[in-house]
Parts: sequence; structure tokens; C-alpha cells
Amino acid sequence: MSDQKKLKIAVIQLTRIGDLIQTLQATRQFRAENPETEITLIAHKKFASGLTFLLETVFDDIILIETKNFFQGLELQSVQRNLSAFLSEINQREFDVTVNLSFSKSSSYLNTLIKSQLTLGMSRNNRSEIVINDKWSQYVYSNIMSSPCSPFGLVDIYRYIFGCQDVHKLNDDPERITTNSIVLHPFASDRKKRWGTNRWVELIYKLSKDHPNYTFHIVGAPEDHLDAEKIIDSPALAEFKERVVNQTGIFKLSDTYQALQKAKLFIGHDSVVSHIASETLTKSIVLSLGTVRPHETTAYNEGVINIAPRNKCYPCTMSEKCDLLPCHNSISHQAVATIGAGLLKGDNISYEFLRKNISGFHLDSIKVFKSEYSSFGLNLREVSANYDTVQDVFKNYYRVIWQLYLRDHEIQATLPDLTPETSKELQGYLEGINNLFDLYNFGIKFSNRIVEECGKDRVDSAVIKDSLAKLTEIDQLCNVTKAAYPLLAGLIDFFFVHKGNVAGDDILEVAHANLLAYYDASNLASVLNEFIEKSIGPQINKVSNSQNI
Amino acid sequence: MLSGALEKNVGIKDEIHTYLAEIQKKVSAGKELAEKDLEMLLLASLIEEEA
Repeated sequence: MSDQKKLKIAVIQLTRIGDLIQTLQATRQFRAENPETEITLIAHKKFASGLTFLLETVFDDIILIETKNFFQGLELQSVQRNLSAFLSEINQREFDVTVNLSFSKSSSYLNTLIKSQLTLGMSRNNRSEIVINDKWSQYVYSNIMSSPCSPFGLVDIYRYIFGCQDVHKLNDDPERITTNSIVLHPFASDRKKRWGTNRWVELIYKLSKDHPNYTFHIVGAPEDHLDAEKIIDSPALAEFKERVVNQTGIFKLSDTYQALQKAKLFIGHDSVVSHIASETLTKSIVLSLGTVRPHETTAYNEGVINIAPRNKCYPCTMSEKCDLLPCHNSISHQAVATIGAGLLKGDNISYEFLRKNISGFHLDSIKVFKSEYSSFGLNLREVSANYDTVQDVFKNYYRVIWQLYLRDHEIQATLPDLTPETSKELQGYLEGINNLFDLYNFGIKFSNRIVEECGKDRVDSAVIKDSLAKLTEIDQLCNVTKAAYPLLAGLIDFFFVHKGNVAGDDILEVAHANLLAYYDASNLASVLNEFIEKSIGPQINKVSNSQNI
Repeated sequence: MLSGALEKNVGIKDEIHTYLAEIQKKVSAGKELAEKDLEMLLLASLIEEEA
């Protein structure tokens, strides 16, 4: 196919380095299915420049934004001219599709100003209001970092936004030579996400003692250098100091990539280095703390062990203040070191492994997840428990309904094996689901009323006004339901955002699109209801049988 | 670095604020924004995210 016929796609990713790697991982899979495409990445220079060695393997071209370059002149007019020239240079490329994967304010305006036939991801209309055309981006906007039960990782969601069908894994190089080294990244962008220095010292002490032939490379940004020195200079590590190397500020990202290629293990927080480790297919332990949601951002590779605290307050939100950081105490260095030793030996990190090798005292305060590929993408499965909590159950429900509704992809799921407590909690949710089902059916009724009224020769505006007021009331009542039944947030928030973005040039078209949205919402509420009833059925039977006895 | 450049040129900073206030007036009045308005909003958000 000639270059002229290639589909030209602009991918906008203006957020941080970790997001860029996840974007790269999704785009690579899309390319595998659609080789006849020309894909350009638009990113911030400060995030993308260190990563070009990787980005160039997937993107045909990379456009870097450096905001200060627009401010070359002394007047606003010259700044505007610089920006306009930059935009017109982009538009000369005549993109067919723009895909904004970054969900930041600037990316939404950029997505609007790049001319294309199809705009995916967040953009703006000519009143500066947010517009999200595609359902998967609506899902991100409504569920990611907010819903307690979002089951999908960002890389897979990006794949879905692209329309990618299958999972395309990276293959390991059979001739890869590794050395006895472990790469550590004890840093994170936020204090809440970062295990304390003492924890890292304890972990390195134990690993050094247990693995005398190994060296440890601490990697990070230049600003992490002093903190890395603090770890290495700790008196506890005096006898192992020569085996712990501070590479922060010395290693570029490409050096870190090479170090990870040679390493037998990576241990770090959910951050850029964990994503690079997933590119080098290095065995990894990722510590998820504070605001980190393992299912959404874990490193995209099979067999990654993700350790998260079991605290009720975890995961928290960015805006929540926390001085004591109780979730940091939940993960013990003993548990991390034991799992690390298992990975180095090639053990299968399973429920049995954890129960056999880690004391209940350390294990009961954590959740240990293991990543594995499935038909829909990368799945994080908890291996530290042999039962499902109510959140786990909802996560599984949502996985099935969203795959079917948003992707037409059917997942074979078995009914969860519930504890009596979980069964009782689920039963409590039936009332919430029924409320929601009724509310969505009222939505159908009042949307229908608007559609019917608009079809009449003489439209009664009072009927339309009254119906619109009822629809607003329904939205408010959905929020009340969400407050009482927080695990329904995934469904409620998605349809709230979806309804706000339905296409239509007049009230009839919008009401018609809303009607369809309410039908879909009502159907999904009914499916959730059925799932719960079927899941708790065996438990109810058990209880009634024991009562009969 | 950018905030430094803006600090040196308080005039541009004031001009941007004035422009943004005009855009806000248009939005409040329900008027449609022109492409150059959206460009200014892009610029303002880039500056905001840089800070």
C-alpha cells in the first residue's frame, strides 16, 4: 500500500513518562493489527525526550511540545503567532484520526485544534465544554481513579480506545544474558506512594544477606540522588555497601532500560521504572501504596507481582491528607524479600507458596496480586486469598458487563465462591440495584415523553420542561443511590458521563440518544441484579438447608 | 523556567489574564468561541500545567 493510503493517526499523550510507556505499549499492539498506519506521537518534550529510544520503535514520528518555546517574543501577539504556527505545522500533516489518551486540560484543547475526521478521547466544543465521543474514553473519565471496582488496566483501555482486538505480547529474547543484579526504584512522584527510607534499608539488608552473590542498583531521577545516598549510607547496610550502587542521576532512562535487561529482578513502586521493567520483561515486584490502584496501572507484563496493603482506607485519593500513612506499615520487608527470593528461584508465587513461606502476621495485612494475560488483556489475580471480597465480586461483574457492552467481547466467568459475609453484603446490594433499575426505567419513560412530544404538530413546551426536570431529578437520585451503594458507582458514573456526551443537534435527537442510553443502563442494571442473585443463590440455599436440618 | 520567562515579562502575563477574562465573558453569555480563543485556552492550560 502506498504511503498516501496509510491512515494517519495523531496520538496525544501530554502526561508523565509512565503514561507515555503505557501509551507506547497500547500503540504497539494496535500497530501489530494495523500495519498500514502512520502514527505520530505528540508529547511534552520534558517527558518524552529521555524515552525516544523506546518511542521510536513504535511511532513513525514524534512531535515534542516545549511551552517556553512559544514565549520567544516580547508581546502576546508573537506568542500567539508562535502557537498558531506550531498548530498549523501539525495540521499540514492532515491527520485522519486524533486519539487523546491523556485526559488533561491542555490535551483536550490540543485535540480540538488538530483537524481530523475522527476525534477520540477528551476534546472541547466551541463553548469550551468537555466533549468525549467514544465510550471507552467516557469510561476512563467516569471510572479511572474514582470507581472502587474498575477492573481494567490503562494499557488495555488505551487498546480498546484504538479498537485493538487481540492481545499482542512481547517475546523475550532467548539469548538474553542476565547477571546477578537486582534493580531497585525506591522513589515515587508522591509521598503517599513511596515506602519510607527505613523500609527500603530493611529490605536491602535482608536481600543482601540472603543473596550474597547479588549486586543492587538503585535507579531514579537526579533529584532522588540524595535520598538514595541516605539509604546506602545507613549504618545497617555498612557491611553490604559495596554491593549497593547508587545510579540515580547517573543513569539515563536508556541506561536503566539496559540495567533492567540484565537484571534478574526489579523491585519498586508503581512508577516509570516498573513500566520500563515490563518492556524488558524483567521479573518484577511492584509495591502499590497510597493512591495507586494496582488494577489500573500495574506494569504490563505477565507474572508481575503487585503487593498492595489491605487497609480499609486504601487506595486513597490525591486530595485526602494523610500524615501517618498506615498503608505503608502494612507491607513488611520480610514479605517482599520472601517473594523476591521465590521469584529469583523460579518458584510459582501462589496461594500455597505465600502461606508456606510468609507468616500470617505479615501476609494478613497485604494483598498479593499476580498478572496474567487473558482474552481481554492483562488481568491481576489475587493470590493471597482463596475467597472473594464484595469488591472483588463487583470487579468481576464489571469486567464481564463492560467487555460485552463496550467491546462486544464475551468473557466466560464462573460464579464466585462466597463467604457468608460477602454473600450478605451482596444481598444488601440487591436493593440498590433495584432502585437503580427503577430510576433508569423512569429515565426511559421521561425521555420517551420528550421524543413523543417533539413528534407532535403542536409541541407543548410545558411537557418538555417537566420531563427535563424529572430527568435532572433522576440524576440526583442516582447520586443518592451511589452514596448508599458505593460499588454501583462504576455503572452510575459511566452513564452519567455517557448521557452528557450523547450526539444530537436538537432536543429531539438528544432525547432520542438519551432514551437509548437509559435502555442500556437499565439492561446493565438488570444484568448486575441477575449476577448477584445467581451468586448468592447457593449461599441462600446452604443457609435454608442448614435451617431445615 | 517558563514561570521565569513570564515573570520577566509581566506585560504578557497581564495580557493573557485580560484575554482569558474576555473568553470567560463570551462563555457566560453563551457565545461560541473562535479558534484563536481555543488557542489561548490551550496556551493558558499549558502554562497552568507547567507550574
